[in-house]
Amino acid sequence: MKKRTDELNTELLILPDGRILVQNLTQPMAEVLRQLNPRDQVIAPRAAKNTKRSS
Amino acid sequence: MICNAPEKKIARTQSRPALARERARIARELLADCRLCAHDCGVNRLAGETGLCHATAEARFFLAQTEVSDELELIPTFAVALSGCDMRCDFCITGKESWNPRAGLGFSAAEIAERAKAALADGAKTIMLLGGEPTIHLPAALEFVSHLPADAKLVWKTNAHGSAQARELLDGIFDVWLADFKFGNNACAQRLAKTPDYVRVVRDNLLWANGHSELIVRHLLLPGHVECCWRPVAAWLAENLPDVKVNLRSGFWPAWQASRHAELRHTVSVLETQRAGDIADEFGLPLIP
Repeated sequence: MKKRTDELNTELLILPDGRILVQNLTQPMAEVLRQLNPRDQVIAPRAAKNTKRSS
Repeated sequence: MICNAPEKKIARTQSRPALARERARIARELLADCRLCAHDCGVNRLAGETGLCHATAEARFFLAQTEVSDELELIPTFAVALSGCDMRCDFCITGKESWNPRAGLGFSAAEIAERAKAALADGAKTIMLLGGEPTIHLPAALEFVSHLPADAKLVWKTNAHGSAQARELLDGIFDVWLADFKFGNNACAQRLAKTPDYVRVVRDNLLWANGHSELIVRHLLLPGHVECCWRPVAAWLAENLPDVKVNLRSGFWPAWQASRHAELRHTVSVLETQRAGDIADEFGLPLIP
């Protein structure tokens, strides 16, 4: 199916050891990941980079 | 020690939108004998001929959205990804779109610029043009810039495999060059990305970019390539661009055609990530998140 370019897209790869790799991380998805693991030091500052609304 | 002293930054004599518009016109004419990347094909893209990147004169895009996955100092960024690339990295995370310049939708510079301006108004800190590889679509990229506010912070995300001709057209246009240095030797570049003479081309571009804009160098750690690729990249950066910020990324995953290469069939191990960090420390590189 053709990817639409007016929707937000993030790709995740969840590894067997629990690590989550991310491509094209959007702020809403960063917030979801932060809630899953608030102690993740890579995600936390990215989730905090708020925009007024998603673009 | 710096082998080639970087040239001084050149002040713009006209506003960036006007300069970009003029350069876009020149870049489009140059498609008649395309030498925008280091492959130096010399095909007439205006007449429908295609070189190694397979791109015609039409630019297409496959992503335009605000993201927070790049360097902290650049995010949120409104990222615009143009389809097609001049390299053939088997592990490309966006291989389907990057290897196919006909992927995605037709790129309207004015329309996407409106979305970019809306993103800035919503709090995006930068606008980032990437691919694929944006260099092969330089006319469209410059036209896009011509529609953006003169004071917007613009990021050129590149594989650093462009030509000297492309660099001249980009001079004074982007505030930040976010450049990949993927391979530490030509053999790995040839085997994994079908790109000859890779190291010389990238080094030339990084030295130039450092003299003409802010430069951030990225290295994506590849499993099994810490010693052959990361170590020489780190050593060269330490010797030649010691103050340039470096982002060492360990989030490789086996995408696209990575499985063609046994060592790329899995992610980077924790041990390799640690070893890569030790190498960065050894060379005193200024790593950024």
